[in-house]
Amino acid sequence: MNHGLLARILYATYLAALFLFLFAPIAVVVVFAFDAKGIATPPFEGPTLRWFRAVLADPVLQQAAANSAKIAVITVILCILIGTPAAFAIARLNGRGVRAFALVISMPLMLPTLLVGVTLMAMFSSLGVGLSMWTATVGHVLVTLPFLVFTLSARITSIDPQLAEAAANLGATPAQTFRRITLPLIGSALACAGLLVLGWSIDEFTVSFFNMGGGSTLPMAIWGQMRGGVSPTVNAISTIMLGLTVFIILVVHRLGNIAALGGKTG
Amino acid sequence: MQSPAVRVIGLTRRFDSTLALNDVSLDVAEGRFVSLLGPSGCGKTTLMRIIAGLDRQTSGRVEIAGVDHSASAPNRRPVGLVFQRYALFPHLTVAQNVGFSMQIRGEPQAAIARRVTELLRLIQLDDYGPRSIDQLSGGQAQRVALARILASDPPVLLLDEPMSALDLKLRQSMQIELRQLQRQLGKTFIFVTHDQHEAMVMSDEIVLMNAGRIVQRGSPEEVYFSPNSLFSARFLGDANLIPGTFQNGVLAGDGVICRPAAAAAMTRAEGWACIRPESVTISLASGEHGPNMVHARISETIFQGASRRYHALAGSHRFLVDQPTTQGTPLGVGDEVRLSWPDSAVAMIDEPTHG
Repeated sequence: MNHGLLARILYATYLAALFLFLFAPIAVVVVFAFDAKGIATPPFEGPTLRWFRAVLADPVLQQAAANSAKIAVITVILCILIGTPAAFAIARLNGRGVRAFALVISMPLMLPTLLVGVTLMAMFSSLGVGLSMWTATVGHVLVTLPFLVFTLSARITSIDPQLAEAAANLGATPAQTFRRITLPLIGSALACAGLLVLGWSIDEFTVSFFNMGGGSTLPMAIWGQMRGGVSPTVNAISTIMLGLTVFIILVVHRLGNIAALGGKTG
Repeated sequence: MQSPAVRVIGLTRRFDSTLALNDVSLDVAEGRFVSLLGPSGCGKTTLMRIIAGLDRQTSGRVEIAGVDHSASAPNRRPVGLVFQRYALFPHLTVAQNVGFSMQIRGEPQAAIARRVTELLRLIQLDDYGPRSIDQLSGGQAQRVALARILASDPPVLLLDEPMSALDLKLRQSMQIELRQLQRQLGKTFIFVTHDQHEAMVMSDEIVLMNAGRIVQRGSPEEVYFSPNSLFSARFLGDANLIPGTFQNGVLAGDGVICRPAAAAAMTRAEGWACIRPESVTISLASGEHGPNMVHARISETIFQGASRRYHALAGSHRFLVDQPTTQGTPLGVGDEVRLSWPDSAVAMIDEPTHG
């Protein structure tokens, strides 16, 4: 009896410590983004939206946000175009070649992003390609492709290959089969994977840092502002990005549930 | 002359080192219910998939209604396939599944709706149109798969073990329903199964396959009572197989002489006689002795409902005998009996008795 009680107290303490460790820094950032005082130290001196207004009015941050958004959207589109056929190949074909291909695709997941960023920059410079938003986008595609390919191939594997055969047998051309059967069945997984890539691209720092050239992305701009200490505007941007990320996670989670449901019946 | 609904000529399919189909030729006449019967791995499913264009032959030809379809895409072949696991589209409703082929052909919505209603009535799922696929039971899903194929109105239907997921009772009633539906529609049905009872219940004709080849074809009665090989004899049901030597048109086994109704041409001096258990008449022993007659002692009796099975020892042979339970008096273990059978029940099998 005592033993059980002790275990429960220990367990609760452990959980509390874990949550504190995980979320206290985030809570501090969010709380001080709304603090009128302007220095991220207690006590809290009344709520304000001043810092958020400052962020939204800052031309440097505006430019960086626009860059981030452009890079993220282009990365998602390229990942879908490149990754969808790769996902089908991994899910539907088998053999040593396909396994090697899957391994190569997954490489950027296992390599440190620092290494990816630096080597990519070295490659661009040896090829004489000037660094720009586009070279950074190439880096983003490289690093995010595995997320898309493996999320999607998992879904494709769960779809009965006989569905496509049945559609063909009922007179559908390969294009009609893809549009009417395959695409609706992988749609939610595709959206899910696309959002993961979007979120990752918006947060990405290292690869952008080495390959962006003159411009900067939102995380780079934040890093730039941090050199003068943690300003309340940094807290405000971080809060905005946190909100965006949580939103994406929620949507992905919701889509993931739908995809799982579809997988069961498919 | 009318060309057959389906004709395959010299069809061979090689997977790496194995031959799934080995030089198979087959004509299926229009309007027939033909079963491709055989153990798993015999090539029956491969043959069906090649006819549908879902697999490609290594060599050989496929003709459907007189037109060469050896190389055409699956969506251009006038055959409908009912898949073993139905392959209903999970993101579409029952009605959308049934109407899929008409939608693909771009038919007017009103015509699609009318035909879907008609077909749902035919399969007795009138009110199921708006339902989702995962609300269907196995038997219902199977009927929807059938309706979906019928909507595309192919002259030939291929059915890949469509009953294997159903329980026995449902399977039996579906067998009759499917047979009646085939007669009513007048379409050619090619039914793939490994279940010999199912094949016999439903078919006009059985095509028995083994190891990538067609072993025997004929009506269920022909294949059952006149097997041309040990494989046919054993696959279609229980058989008394008696090895012996051929002399003057009869087969002399160990203490048993089997005389067929018509002498068959044999290629070697030894072979087998096949007699089905229900062809044998059992009676209490008398002194007679002769061809198609043997003395035996009962070693086992098994009550099977409609019939009673006896195991009877005659020399080195153990005979299986089925007698209707409503005829004669039951015999017991140790009874001395006489087994006899008509000439017409003897099928000669031209295969070596050793190895």
